[in-house]
Amino acid sequence: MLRAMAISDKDKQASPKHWNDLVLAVARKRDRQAFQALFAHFAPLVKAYAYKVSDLAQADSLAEELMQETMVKVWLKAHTYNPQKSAASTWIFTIARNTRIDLLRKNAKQWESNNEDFDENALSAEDIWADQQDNDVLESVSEEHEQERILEMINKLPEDQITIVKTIFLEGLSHTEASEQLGLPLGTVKSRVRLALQKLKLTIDV
Amino acid sequence: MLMTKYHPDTRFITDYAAGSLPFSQALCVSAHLHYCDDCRHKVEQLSSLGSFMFDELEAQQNDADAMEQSFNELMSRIDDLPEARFVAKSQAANDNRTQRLPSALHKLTRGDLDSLQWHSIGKYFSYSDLDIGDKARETSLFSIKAGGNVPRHRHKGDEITVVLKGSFSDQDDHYQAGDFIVRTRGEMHTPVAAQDEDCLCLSTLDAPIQMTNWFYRLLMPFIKASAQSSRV
Repeated sequence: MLRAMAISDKDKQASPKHWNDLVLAVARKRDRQAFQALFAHFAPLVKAYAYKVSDLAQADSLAEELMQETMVKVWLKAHTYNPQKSAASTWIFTIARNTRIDLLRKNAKQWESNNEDFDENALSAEDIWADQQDNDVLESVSEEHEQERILEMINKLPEDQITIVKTIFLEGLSHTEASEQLGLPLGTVKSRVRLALQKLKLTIDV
Repeated sequence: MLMTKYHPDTRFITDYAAGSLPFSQALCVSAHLHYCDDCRHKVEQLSSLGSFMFDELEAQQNDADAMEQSFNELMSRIDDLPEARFVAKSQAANDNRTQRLPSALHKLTRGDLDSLQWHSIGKYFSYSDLDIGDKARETSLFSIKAGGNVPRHRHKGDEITVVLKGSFSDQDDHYQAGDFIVRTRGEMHTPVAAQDEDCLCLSTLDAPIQMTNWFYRLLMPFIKASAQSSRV
């Protein structure tokens, strides 16, 4: 028990670089131990991410499938991961996000028509949502500082702002859907998100 | 480097990064990103914001034995995969971006616009509907011949247009490759393509599914009539 807690504490404190190195080890050597360490940390998070989907009827079957699909992709795509573009946790999050989009679309389709014909030219989420954005290295170097700063700021956001930001990012609801679910005018949702991002010094526009 | 002037606003960029934007609108944002370094950077930042919240989720932890079993199942599944499933590294990054269509559109058109079915309206305007499985919206590519115009029209729903090649103007401004233009219901305009080059655009229009029901079709004349009278 004590040992388990010690591991989980260590796990919590693991630096972003720790996860980057594990993904790189999988990429270079198909390192199964490194992959198991990634699995131990990220598989439970991916499942939790599946349970955030507001349509709970789907969440149970979704969770196991999403976890398996996401981790298979991490294994298959490890060699495409570039630590200069983003942290491994961001990379894995985007893979889980894209996989969730595809699974939800696939489920919706089956409800509608029951047909399972597969069109290889059909777009999947990864055609529209890249795993990593193609930014040049200069921008990404500054990003490491950014991440520390954002982590600090995120816990200081007012409750009403963080609630909406979490609804959009974790539950997969758009601004419009979030405004319906929370019973708030769209304008209120927009301005709370904007205020939150301004405080985090992210994507400020006029 | 080409400068895009019109960008998706915070709402579109955030919903896109969160993965909650409807598929066809996300296609439009991704097309814009193809041309816009700034917005790609914003998306990467917002994706890391998403991943911080993801990191803080309450992990759905099983006991060690169950984890071990789950991992072994995963590995035996992976061992059964054909080698071909390893994803090729993308070489696209070094190509000249502006020479190609955004990658999703490249895939849809199989690299050849003529592989799509095009419909012409008049001498200058043609369009091709894209079926990307978003039934709530009509998504299409349209093309205006150099110097030609689109007949004056009123927007029936909220519409996003992204310029892919060439440029066009309307009464408000001049739009170039990468520009992400949002028109709301009821706005009227007459786009004209630049003289020297055909203009290719991607657009998606909110077209609620009920509009095609017979109930609404029969109702439409009344809606139209009242819309017209309110215009006067």
